[in-house]
Amino acid sequence: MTGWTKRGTRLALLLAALAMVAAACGSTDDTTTTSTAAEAAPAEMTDVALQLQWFTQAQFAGYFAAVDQGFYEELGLNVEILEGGVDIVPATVLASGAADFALSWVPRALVPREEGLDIVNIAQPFQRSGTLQVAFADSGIATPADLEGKIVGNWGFGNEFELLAGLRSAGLDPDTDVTLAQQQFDMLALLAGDIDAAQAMTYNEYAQVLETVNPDTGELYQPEDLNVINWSDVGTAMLNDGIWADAGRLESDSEYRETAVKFVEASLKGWIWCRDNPDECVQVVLSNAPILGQSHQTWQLNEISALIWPSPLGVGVMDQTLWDQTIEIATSEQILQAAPEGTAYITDIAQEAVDNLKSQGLDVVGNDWQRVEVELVEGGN
Amino acid sequence: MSATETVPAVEATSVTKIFNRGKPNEILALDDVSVAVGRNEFMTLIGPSGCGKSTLLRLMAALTHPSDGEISVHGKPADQARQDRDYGMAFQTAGLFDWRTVSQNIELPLQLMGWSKSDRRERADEMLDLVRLEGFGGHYPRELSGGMQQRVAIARALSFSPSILLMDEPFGALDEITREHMQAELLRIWDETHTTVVFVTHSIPEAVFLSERVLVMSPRPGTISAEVIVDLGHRDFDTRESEKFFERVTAVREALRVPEEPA
Amino acid sequence: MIERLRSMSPPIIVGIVGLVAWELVLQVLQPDGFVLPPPSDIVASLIATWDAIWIAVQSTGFVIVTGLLFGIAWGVLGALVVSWYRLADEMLTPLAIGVSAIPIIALAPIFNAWFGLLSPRSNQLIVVLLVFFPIFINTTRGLTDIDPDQIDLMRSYGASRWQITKEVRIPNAMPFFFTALKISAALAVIAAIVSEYFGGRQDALGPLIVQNAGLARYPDAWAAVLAGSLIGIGLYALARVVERFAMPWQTAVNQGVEG
Repeated sequence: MTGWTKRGTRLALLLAALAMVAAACGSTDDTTTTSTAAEAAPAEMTDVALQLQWFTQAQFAGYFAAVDQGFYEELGLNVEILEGGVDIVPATVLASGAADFALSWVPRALVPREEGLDIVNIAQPFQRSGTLQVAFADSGIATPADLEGKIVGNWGFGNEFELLAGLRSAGLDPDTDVTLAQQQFDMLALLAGDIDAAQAMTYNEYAQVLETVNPDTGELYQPEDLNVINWSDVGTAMLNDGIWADAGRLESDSEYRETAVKFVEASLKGWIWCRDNPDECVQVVLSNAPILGQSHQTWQLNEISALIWPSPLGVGVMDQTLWDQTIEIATSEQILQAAPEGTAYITDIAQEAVDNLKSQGLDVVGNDWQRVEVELVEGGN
Repeated sequence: MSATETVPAVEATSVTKIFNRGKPNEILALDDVSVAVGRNEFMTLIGPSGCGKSTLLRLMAALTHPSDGEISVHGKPADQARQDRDYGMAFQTAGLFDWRTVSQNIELPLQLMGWSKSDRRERADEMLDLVRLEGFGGHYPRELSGGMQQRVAIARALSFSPSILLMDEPFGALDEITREHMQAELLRIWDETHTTVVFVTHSIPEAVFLSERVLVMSPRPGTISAEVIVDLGHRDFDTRESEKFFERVTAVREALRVPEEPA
Repeated sequence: MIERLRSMSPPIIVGIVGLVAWELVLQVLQPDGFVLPPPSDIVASLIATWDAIWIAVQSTGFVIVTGLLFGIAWGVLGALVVSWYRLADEMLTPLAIGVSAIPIIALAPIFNAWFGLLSPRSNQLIVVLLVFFPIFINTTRGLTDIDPDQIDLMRSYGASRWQITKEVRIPNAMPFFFTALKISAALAVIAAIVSEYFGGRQDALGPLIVQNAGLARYPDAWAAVLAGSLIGIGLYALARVVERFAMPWQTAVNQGVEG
């Protein structure tokens, strides 16, 4: 039927055009991540691609800082940062070879690993999870059990595992006892009343609500207006952002392993710099994504730092207790079918990186770091 | 009775038909044509393509109307005759409905006229007998040959016993052998039903075989250029081989020949 | 019956041979590209995740069936109106053809915004629009593309416009309608699943496919695809049954009776 063929062709062309635009957007980053104040850079640079697990924001400040401050360049790395998105799964991008390293929450990487992707965690900067489920205070939703029969928004694609674990631990069946809804990466659905509870990160979407004017009062929403289920408090939080690498390549390619050490070292140095220079760090983030709002990114960096510091074993070195806890939750709440086979994380790369940083006189634990008071404004600007 | 006998079954009086009057593609299809068909007569119209014979037939059927002149059927205006269901029609394509069985096709006009189911069924069976297709009532048109389909078309045309049968090249799509067979069948049916038949054809032997009177039409604009009487009496399979037949065929052929331009 | 089985056996044999070959190739060669798992893995996953798949089938299936029914109803109604009124034909048909060129599926995010994320309306509307056009265009053709002799015949019987519609146009249109129906059944499944990619409930086949694929759970993704295919096949088969019932004359065997 000729009509269908024409329509199908146009649809294919439209999708191809959209894909090209999306790819172009993803790669605009590398034109803005030119490093400043280049020291005497080694002659031979290695190209490295890092896949973020979301769009550019302070959640990844350390990496942008490392580019901006020349930390990667000092060690001979030319790093391209690839933005993530709603349906980009960093683990699969890493396994496909399109990126050399990827940031991913631990369970979100372990599930594809269970399916056969040969990836391994080489550093774990985020010690704590910032995942929340947020509802309005007058909704009556305060605990996971209260979600029964409700419309529960989440981002899917592996972002929802702590929620699923939390529901199951409260005795609910996610398939039948709640209605799970695909949420956009904003809080509009909650504000519009389309969903009863929304997924949010302490450092991002939660603040988006507090930056919105409450139509009833004419003022910004206040924390008292919201009920927050923090999965860390519930006990089903699992480790968030970690740095992942291609396991097979690590074993066979010694250059790749060298690069990994350098990459981790410079990245962690970036995080340390951001801890110690928060205002400049926010500016670095903003220069990479000018549409972001300053106050919101300041809040974000503040909250992200709370997930990283203090790192008793040294930033980025995996704490086995925390890992085991994540695995325990994942297996008992049916996120993973079984504990990961083989070596799912290694600490030697991160340890080597941390030792190098210590020898440079840097504080890798961050015991003295404190949260600051951040004032939120409408729209987060 | 005698009064009705003098009224022709179909009469066209000074009929003119113009298509697309006033526009650049105006066509004068028929020019002042007068024809009278008597009751029970079998009359044939023959002429070259585009001479207007089909148009004349459609005028008689009240499917279109004359630009000038008058058509009357049994003394009534053609439209009235149509409403009174005075005639049946058959075309070159049998025009049977694929989705109705043979019987249901024959029953179609009866159904539209509001006949009861049992009456319809009874009449359909009678018609099937008439056209010698007993037993085929439950078949679909697709399953029948061209000749058989035409027989069904004729059965349908006669199902409500119209007094007049208008036929527009009904055998044109059939092969020669089937065609001759169908011609004989048609004559037999005509004999049995005493219908008046106005028959349009391209074929000279067909015209001569079937009818007593052949009207020859001229090329556009159509007029009646000649009338050939065919007094062959009762027709049978030997008729086509007789000398008289051949002589009448020649007469018609000559009447069809376009008169030569004067030198 | 035997005849029917015999005529079905070539495609069945090809299908079985294809499945066996697929299974053997993947089991023996075990290539690294595990994007396409062997059929046994897909079926195993279908059984293992049956509870979630069944819920998704109901959710997506509801959208498919309701969208299909409304799309058919509007398509047929539109075709009837257009066949009766020349003016409507001149106004609506070019509009319909123009709109059908828009990639309807690309409107899904806009519809989600109009109707709300969780409302099935946006998905149903996508299905309705994609089903409407083939039904409308084909049925219109069937209602208007009539042998003029048949119309003349009916007029010679003094038939009314409604009688002509009932006795000629509608039966004539049936083959056209059923062709479009079978196309629409497949389109409805595609439309529903793809419209679900753009957000909404997660207990539906679209999210199951796209999220499992994203997490490299390919057997699970394919199992959901299989479930969607089965819905499509089921609808197609249903359309065939209805067609056979509605058009008994099509199945009369052509035997070329001599006469």
